[in-house]
Amino acid sequence: MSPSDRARQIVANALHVDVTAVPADADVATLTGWDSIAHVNIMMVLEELAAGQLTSDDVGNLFSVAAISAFLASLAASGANGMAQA
Amino acid sequence: MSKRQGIPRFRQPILTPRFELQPIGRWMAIRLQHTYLRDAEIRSLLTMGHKPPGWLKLLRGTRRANGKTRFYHAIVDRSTGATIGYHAVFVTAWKTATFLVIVGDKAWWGKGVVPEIRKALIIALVRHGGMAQISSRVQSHNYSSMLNYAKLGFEKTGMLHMSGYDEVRGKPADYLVFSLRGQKMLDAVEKWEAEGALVSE
Repeated sequence: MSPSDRARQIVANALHVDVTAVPADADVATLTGWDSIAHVNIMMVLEELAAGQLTSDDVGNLFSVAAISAFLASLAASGANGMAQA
Repeated sequence: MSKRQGIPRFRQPILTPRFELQPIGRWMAIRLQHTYLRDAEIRSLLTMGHKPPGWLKLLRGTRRANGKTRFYHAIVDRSTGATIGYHAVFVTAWKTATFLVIVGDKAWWGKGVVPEIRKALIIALVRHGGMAQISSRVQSHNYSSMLNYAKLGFEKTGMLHMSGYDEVRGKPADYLVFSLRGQKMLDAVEKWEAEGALVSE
């Protein structure tokens, strides 16, 4: 699964919607269901995937599918455990 | 305007579609914080302390609402009249304000309380207080607060590394700075006014 598709899936799971409802260019402003509880759930998944590599710098930027996708791609490049298996 | 001048609009309640922000004094602000900070989950996001702050600590940390640089509000559900949280606005520097919020009633978590009340507050701060910037710091594990700022168009503008100690996680805590300013803020205010974010009585 590509980082973009993985990011869409993570967001869709947190919002309890089908992945087709989460376009690749979606962000917190365009997806009304992306509320604070959904965001906490997204960040918890990313924390787990990042295995300690989610920095304070990262968390202040992950407000769109594209940003999450870029973060997942960087994790895959660095060989983080969760992404190596994803 | 200088930060020494008052903002008379903040002496009156601020209404949003669902909530009323009722101006409160220092004692009520302390009482609400004391009540809400007994909750460990709320505390882990704000004070990062194992124990609830005592009255004396809150007394020292909550100065008098002076109508110029410190404004405290109870967040009241307009449909029931129940107080569900606490909000503070501090004018920290020239034309710059910062926020602090506690939504104490967890039944309201995830229901857009904070973005809704902040739209109205920012409109009032810009139109009646002449603010040019809203800038707040958020503990790096407070994901819901970050989301609330991002939803309003705030951008991460800085990082305060290890500027606090997180007793709950047992390590130093970073803070992120989120800001909204300039034309972007004015455009947002116009949009929110058109949406009716600040309700007239």
